[in-house]
Parts: sequence; C-alpha cells; structure tokens
Amino acid sequence: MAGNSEPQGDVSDTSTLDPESLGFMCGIEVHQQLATGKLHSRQKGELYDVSIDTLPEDWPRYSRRLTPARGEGGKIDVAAKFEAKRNRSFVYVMSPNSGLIELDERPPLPHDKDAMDISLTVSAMLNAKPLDLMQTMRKTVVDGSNTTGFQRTTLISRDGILEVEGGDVRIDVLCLEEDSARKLDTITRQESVEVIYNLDRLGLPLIEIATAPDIKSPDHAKDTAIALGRTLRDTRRVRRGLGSIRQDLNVSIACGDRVEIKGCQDLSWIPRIIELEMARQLHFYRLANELRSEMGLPILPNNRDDDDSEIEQNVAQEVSKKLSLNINDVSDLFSSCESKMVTSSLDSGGVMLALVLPGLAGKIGTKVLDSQGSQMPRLGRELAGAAKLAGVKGIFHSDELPAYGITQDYVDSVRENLSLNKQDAFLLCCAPKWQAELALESSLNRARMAWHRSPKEVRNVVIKKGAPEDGTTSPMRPLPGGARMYPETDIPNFELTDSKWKKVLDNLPMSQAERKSRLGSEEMSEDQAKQLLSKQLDDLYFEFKADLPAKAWASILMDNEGQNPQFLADVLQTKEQGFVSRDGINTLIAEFSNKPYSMESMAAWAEENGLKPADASDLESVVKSVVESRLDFVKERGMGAMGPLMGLVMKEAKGADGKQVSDLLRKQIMKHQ
Amino acid sequence: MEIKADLFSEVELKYNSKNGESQVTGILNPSAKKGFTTIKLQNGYNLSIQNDDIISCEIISNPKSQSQEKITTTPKSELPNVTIIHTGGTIASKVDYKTGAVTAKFEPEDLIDANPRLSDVANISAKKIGNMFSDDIRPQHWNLMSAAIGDAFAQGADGVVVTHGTDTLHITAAALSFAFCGKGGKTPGRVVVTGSQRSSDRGSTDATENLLAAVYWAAYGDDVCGEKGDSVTIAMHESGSDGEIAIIPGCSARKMHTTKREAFSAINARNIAIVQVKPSEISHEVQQWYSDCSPSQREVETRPTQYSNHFKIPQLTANAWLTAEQIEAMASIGASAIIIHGTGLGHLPIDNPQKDAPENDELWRALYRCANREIPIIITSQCINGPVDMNVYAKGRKQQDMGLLGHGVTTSPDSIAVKVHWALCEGKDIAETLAKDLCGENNQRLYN
Repeated sequence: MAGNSEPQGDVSDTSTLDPESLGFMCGIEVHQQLATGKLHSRQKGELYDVSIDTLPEDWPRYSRRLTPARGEGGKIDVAAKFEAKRNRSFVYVMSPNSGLIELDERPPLPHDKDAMDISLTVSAMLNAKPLDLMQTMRKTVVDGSNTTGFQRTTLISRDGILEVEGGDVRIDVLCLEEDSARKLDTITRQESVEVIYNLDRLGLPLIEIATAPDIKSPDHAKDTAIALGRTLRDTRRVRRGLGSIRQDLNVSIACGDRVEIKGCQDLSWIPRIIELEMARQLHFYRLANELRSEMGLPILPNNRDDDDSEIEQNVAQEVSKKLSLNINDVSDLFSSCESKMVTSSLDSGGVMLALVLPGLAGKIGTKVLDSQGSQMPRLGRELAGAAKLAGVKGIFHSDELPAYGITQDYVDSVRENLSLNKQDAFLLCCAPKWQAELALESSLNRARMAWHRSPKEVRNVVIKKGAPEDGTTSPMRPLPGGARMYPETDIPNFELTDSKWKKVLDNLPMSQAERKSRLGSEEMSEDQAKQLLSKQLDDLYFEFKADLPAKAWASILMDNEGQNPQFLADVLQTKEQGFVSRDGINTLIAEFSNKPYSMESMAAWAEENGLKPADASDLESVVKSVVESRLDFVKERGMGAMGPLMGLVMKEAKGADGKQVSDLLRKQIMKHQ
Repeated sequence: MEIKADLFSEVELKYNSKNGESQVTGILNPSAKKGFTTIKLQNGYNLSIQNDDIISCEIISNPKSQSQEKITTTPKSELPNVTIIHTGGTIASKVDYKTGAVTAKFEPEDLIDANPRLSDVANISAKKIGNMFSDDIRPQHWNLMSAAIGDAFAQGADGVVVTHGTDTLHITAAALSFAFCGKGGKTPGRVVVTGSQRSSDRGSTDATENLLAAVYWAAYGDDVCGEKGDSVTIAMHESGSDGEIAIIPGCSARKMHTTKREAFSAINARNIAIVQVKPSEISHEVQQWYSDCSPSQREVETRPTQYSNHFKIPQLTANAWLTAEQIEAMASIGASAIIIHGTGLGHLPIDNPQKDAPENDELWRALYRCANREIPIIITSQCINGPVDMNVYAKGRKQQDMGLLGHGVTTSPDSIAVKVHWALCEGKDIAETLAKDLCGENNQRLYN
C-alpha cells in the first residue's frame, strides 16, 4: 500500500523513487494573464519594459506600510506576523496605466466584461459548473505586491474535468483574479527594508485554474500543464509570451508534507522539479529520524496521516530545549577579516552575529551533486532560505567553513569564543543588527524543524540566468494557515443569467485540431498553414477570403499583420483583376493604409504610378527587342543572362509583373540558345 | 429547497448548476442575495446557490463557538491619558476568515489589539457614544460629543480623540470648535478628530496611522490657545503616502476628495503640525506660523454651546437654475438664515443687462424682500478656497447694499454654516459674528 511501508529509494538518484509506493500526490495551479484591459480599473493591460535603473523620473511614487490584518480568533496570521517583524515599507511607482484604483485611493470597478467572458468560456471548455452568483473576495496578501493588502479574486466555476494524455484530471476551481505589482528592487536600510514596486502589472486579469490532486507521476504533471495551457490558448484571448502563464505545483509524498512550488514556467522542467522535491522530502524524513534516534526520541511514522500530535509536541519541546535562542555578537572577532562580504557589511554599520546549534555539526551538510548533476537536499540550504526571508543575502554555517574568505583561524576563534564542542554547529550572519537577529531567529526555527517532516511551505524554483539552475527549489514562506479571504464589499455580485451562459456555450472557440483540419482543405503549403495557426490569423483568413487565391491571400495577410483585413483583401482583389502588378502590391498597401480608398482609386493610382502590369503582347515585344539587341550576350551566357536582362526589361516596361517578365524572358532566351 | 440549519454550520449540499449536478461542502453564511444560499468553501471562496437548485443538504457539524484571546493592559504612570470617543466609522475592525464576517471594534482592548503601538503612546480609555455614518449626524450629536469631551477631561484625560466617519468630520470639528471657543474660551486640552478613508479591515488602511497620530497629538501636542483653530483639530493623511499625518485646524477644514487618503485640507488656513509616524518612533513638527503665535489668556470653557435643532438654515447654490421661487420657499418655511454659495468672489445672478433674463430681476426682488424681512442671507463661495469679496465688482457692491452678508469673510463654506448656527444658538448678531475671528476660522492673513 502506498505510503504504508518504510519509503524506499536513493536520494542521490531520483530514478529510484517510485511515485506510487511513496504515496505521491500532486496538483497543478496555473495563472494565465488575459489579453484584456485591467480587471477592476479600466486601465490598459500593458507592461512596460523598465527596470529600477531605467524608470522614468516623472512616474509618481508613493510610500506605504501595511497593517497586519486580524485573523481568526483575533490572531494575526503567521506569515503576517513575520512580515510585520521585517519592518518593510513599500514604494509604489505609478506607471502610465495605473490610476487611483491601482494606488488604492479609489474603490474598484466591476469586472472587465471581456475577462469575465473568457473565464466563462474556459469554464465551459473544462465542463466546469459556473456559479449562479459570483462574489468577489479579498485574499489577504502581506508582501506589499498589492497596494490594498489583498488580492481581489472571484470564483467563477468549479468541479470540471481536463482531458490529459495519461489520465483525465479533475478541475477543482477556476477563478478570475488580479495580478500583483512587479517588484523592481529591495533596499535594506539601517532599521528597515524598502521594497519598490511597479504598478503596471497590478490588476491585470488572471485566470487561476487549480486541479484536484489527481496527477499520478512527474510526467503526468507535465502533460497536465501542457493540456491546461493549450485549453487557455484555444480561446485566443490570453496574453502570450514570457511570464504570461505561471504554473505552481503542489507536491507531497506520504512521509513528507505538501509544498507549493512556484516558478515552473518551462514545462519541460516539471518532471525533474517534482522528482527532486520527492527526494528532498524523503531526505528530511530520514534526517528527522536520524536526529530523533540520536536523542532517543520516538521516530516518525512513515505516513504523515499517522502522526500523533502529542508525541510531535513533546519532540518539539525537547528540541527547543536543546536548541535555544543563543545569539552572540562576534563582530569584534571579524574586525580584521579579509572576506569582502564581511568587511563591506561591517563597514556600513552591520554586525556579525553567531547562532549556536548544539549537536548539529555535520548535519547541516555541504554541496554534493546527485547522479544527474542537481544539488542534493541539505539542511544548510533550508537554513539559508529561512534566513533570507528576513532579507539578508545569506548565512555562513560551520559545516561549510572555512570558505568565502573566512579562514580556519576565524572558525577556531568563534568556536573558542563561544566555548563550543565538536558536536556543535554555528551559523554566522552579517547584516544590520535587527535584520541579522531576525534572520538567525528564522534559521533557528527551521533548524528545530529538522526533527520533524519537511514543513508545509511555498518554495521557489532556483533560477539562474532566466532558467532553472538544476531543478532544485528554495523556501519562500510558510503555507498560509487556512484561506485568508473575506468578501470584497465594493464590487456588486455578478449574477450569471441563463441567456449569458447559453451565449457562452454557443460561442465556444474551436480547438487547435479543428482549426488544423479546417486549413487542411485549403490550397497552401503545410508550412503556410502552420504559420497562419501560430500567428492566429486563420479566423481572419476565412472571414475575408471570399474567392481570393489561397496562397496569395495567406501571404499578404501574414506579411501585413495589424492591417485592416478587408483592405488587404481589396488590394489582392485589385491585383487579381489586373489593375496592379504582383510587385506593386506592397507600394499600394503603403500608400493606402489607414486612408479612405476604393477599388477604383487604388486602380487609378497604380496606373498613374506605373504599377499596372504591362499588356502581355506589349510586354512580349519589349522582351523580344531587349533579347535581340543583345544576342551575343545571350548566346555567351545562356540562362545566365536572365538576371541582367530582367533588370533592363523591368526598366523599360514599368510596372510589369516580375513573374510574367521572367517567364517571357526565359522563353526568348531558350529560343536563341 | 431552503436550508434549515444554523448560520455557520458545516453543510454538504447537492445541487443543480447550469452545467449539471454537483456536490459541495462548506460553512453556511448569511445569504449574499435573497433566494440564494451562501456557503464559505474551505478554500475561502463564497459559493451562492439558488435555493431552487439545491437538491439535498446534510448538516455535518453545528457552529463552533470561538474563543478569543483577551489582551489586558496595565496603565503606565509615565504616559499621558487619552480618551477615545467613538461615534462611527471603522477605525478598528476584525475579520473572521472562517466566516468572512467583518466586525467593527471599539473597546479599548480591541483598539490596542488592532493597533498595538497605541499603548506605547498613551494610556487609552474609550467611550462609545454612537456608531453611525457621519452623514447621519445632527446637532444633537455634537452636543453628545461636547459633553463626552468635557467628562473625559474632568476624569483626568490629557487629550481626547474623536473617531468619526469622514464625510462630515470637518463639520463636527467646526461645531466642537465654536462650542468650546466661540465665546472666548478654549477646550480643557487637545481634542483631535480622526477617521479613515480606507476601511480598517485591509492591510493598507490609513486608520492605523491616523489614529496613532491623533492619539499622539492628543497626548503630546502643543498646549491649546483656543485662537488658531488648535482646540479641536483634525488628524488625517497629509498625502497619498503613509508616514505623515497633518494636524489641521478643525474650524477651517474640508473634505476635498471622495476617496483619497489625503482628502482633508485646511481652507484659507494652514496646517498646525505634521506628525511623523515611523516604524521606530513617532515625532512631530509644529509649523513655524503656529509656533510663532503668542500664548493666549483664554479660560477653559466649562459650558460649551448647546446646539439647538430648531433653527432652519437652508443652503442654496448660485447658478443658472437659481430662482426667486426657491428663495420665497425658504422664507415661507421660516428659515432662520439662508446661505447661498455664490460664484467666484461671491456673486449671484441678479442683473439683467440685456433685458432678456427676467428671472434675474425676480431673484433680486425676492432676495431684497427677504433681507428687508430681516432673514439673514449669507454669501459664501463655490470656489471654497479664497475670500468672499463683494467690493471688487459693482455686482458685489450692489449685493452689499441689498444687505447680503459675508463680505470679507475667509471662513470655509461648511464652517460658515456652523458659525451661523452657533450665533443663532447664542443669540448673537449674525453680521457682527461673521466679521469676527472667533477661533481662527476667519483669518485675514491668507497665504495660499
């Protein structure tokens, strides 16, 4: 039975991990930006290519702080509490597509109609059940990425099904929500941290789709993500390009616990990321039991469902007795240290703090790669991740020292100064005092958890140069304890009428396969058909085609994206009727684009400007005379004379159709060879 | 079917959706709309189903009562005492994520719980005298407030904060200003009125800093002199950013934006101070003009004016639609005084130079008759900022000759209405009262 026997497998070789016997559970959440205006403000849904260094100076800035919201029973949420300790303030930079609503200076407007329509359409495509009355909710967000302190989100439908190769996956919910502001920079100050956000993305509509935990394997997860993406793109109304769709993975094995992994944009990485997460949870389960055995504490059951909360509480108590908050200022020991990281921090008013971790020497680990070159899970990485939550760049731990310019002498002097024995480990953190303290406290909490299963948390794929480094992840924040939502009273409920739903069902988009077969019967190359599809021009192709020749119509449409399709069709028609040569088409488009025109005015202008194809018999005599006057040349070069003569003919017969000329020329040259 | 279960019970529902049958579990919430059943799902969302679509309902568990941690605070002798008088608005609230309910809070413990820094600033006591939208406030409520303020100081408060909905916050501040300072006295200590433009259930609320700054100013602000609009002040955001709260003279303020944090401005007056709220400390900077004022010899007012609600003070606006009938109707209901918001410097449509606007002649006649019947007509300006000046144009001089009042006054439009009301209650001559500067509301030195 899954998860009921001691979990098997080698953490250093993920191919030995069997999802089924490890009690693997997995679901996916996707967030897809829609190609509409913003959800609740009627501002344009566009993004600006700016960084902290290129930010226009005239974009206004506002500085804010967030008050932790009161949660259940008057308690502040864990995440919110940590956030309050971090002393963060936020600077919001107003992009041109942000106004009082983005600034939280005005109540929101009801949903963007297109965004609502797309959400209902996707719901129907997933055979989900739409809500009769949709109530917008406020989901508390404490990282400042929403100016309000919450994200507005509306449940549109639930209980659907997604067809996936390798097994169908149920859809739990489909929601329509606001995207967050984009972080530009984080600045650490002596007593606080300032985070700077660009408001351009804030309020862009996102469809969130969460699947049930029906995913059976790492590869099945990838197929599910592909199927979800395809369904969304089939609407043709979603944003495309980098960052327009984000995938989160919910992963657990029986001996571990649920984590949410963010940043899985590149779908081909999904299986690897999941395998590594399984390995990580297995590693920390085994480490916990190793540590427990050493202390003579009861070991963990191999399935989290069998945990005894009383035993776990007792273990936690024993561990916090062993690992107390023992932080020491050791700045003096490092006053002449040559590590650049250390000196620059100490010089700018920072301190070097040391946290003692009794009995953990050798358990924190050093960097070791697995059989596929990914970093193996180790406690050190988790401790550093916990410290980084406080905004510090990182920590040093005794298992990896000497390194980073901290020599053995310094390690020895810390050990001596703190009277540590061989089994004791220590962490060092160099930062402003408040921050270093918070960082080490956070690391201590994580170190204590080493005696337990890997905690429920949100993790981030480690990214290097825009791509996953090796598929491993780092901790981001604890999973919020329960849903933190309450009604958004500023937006009236949206009532779905029968006629609206029927309209959605009557207008479902074609699937990619249907589109392909529709183009299959057209007279064009496979490549052209493929391009039309990828440029999403096939609907326009059919709408305006009438009796135009397929190939020529497809090319003119693709070469002139963004032009009025009726105009393009009229231009091609002008050509078909013999008023403009093939070569004159582009000139004609340039002349009449975005101007009033008629077939007559275009034909007249083409003639005036020598774009009308020469009469075939006239053309033939021109070609004949050109060839005959250069007979020697033609005889010498043969078909090689084509090019030079082509130019001469075109010059004499202005506006002639190039293809027609080359046909005639070829005929004439062949005569004289 | 209609669900027969207690609110907040956990239920499992089978129902028909527009796209087939489904099943769902959640906590029963108050209905979002008549004819619908609303449950809160485990993922936090509210789901509303038409009662007719519900096939079956199974009660899984009855509502659980929740215990709440109570915070106890012990007064610190070194801190000043500040009483918070609550009249309305959501200066503190709590969200129950389980049910989605947002409840307003105003017990001192709740205030401190929501805003823990308060207890570092002062020893807080609280009194609730109402919980209403500020647009529902009437003169009798001002009287309740001035009595509560008097009581608080009598019981040893160093300062008093009044929490108030924002719509008419400045009118209440003016009413309290005239009640305590109109007869030449002053409040026993600092009174600060505050509110919030963003509700306190959200992380981005301005209530936290506004209340903190209000309590801080009530506790540590400069001693009141009663003359410069400093007896009763308003503490609200200075800009769209957090961190700076303006202390605005209560007799010369107005709400100038429906939604923004920085909605309140001093009108024909200047802020008294800025309170800086930083993560580590709260401090203040008194504006130069205010610190230059010499201390006054005013006595503490022990009998603040009682506002009577028997007076009728209609307000009209000068524009293309103002007619004689409106003035006559006001006179016929027995108006105690009429306030007209004039255009520009304080002008009314009473000339007919092209002989094509007889309604202007009629309006002139109606006003003239009113003035002769000794119904005071007071002119203020729709521009809000700047003085009323009826000397500049012939029109203005004509209005003065007709006996219309208000020339030379810099009092903000809402303060004028309150001031007229105050004069009526105190039996003072309106023209003389308007010309006076009772407590800083008619400052003749304008700087902006």
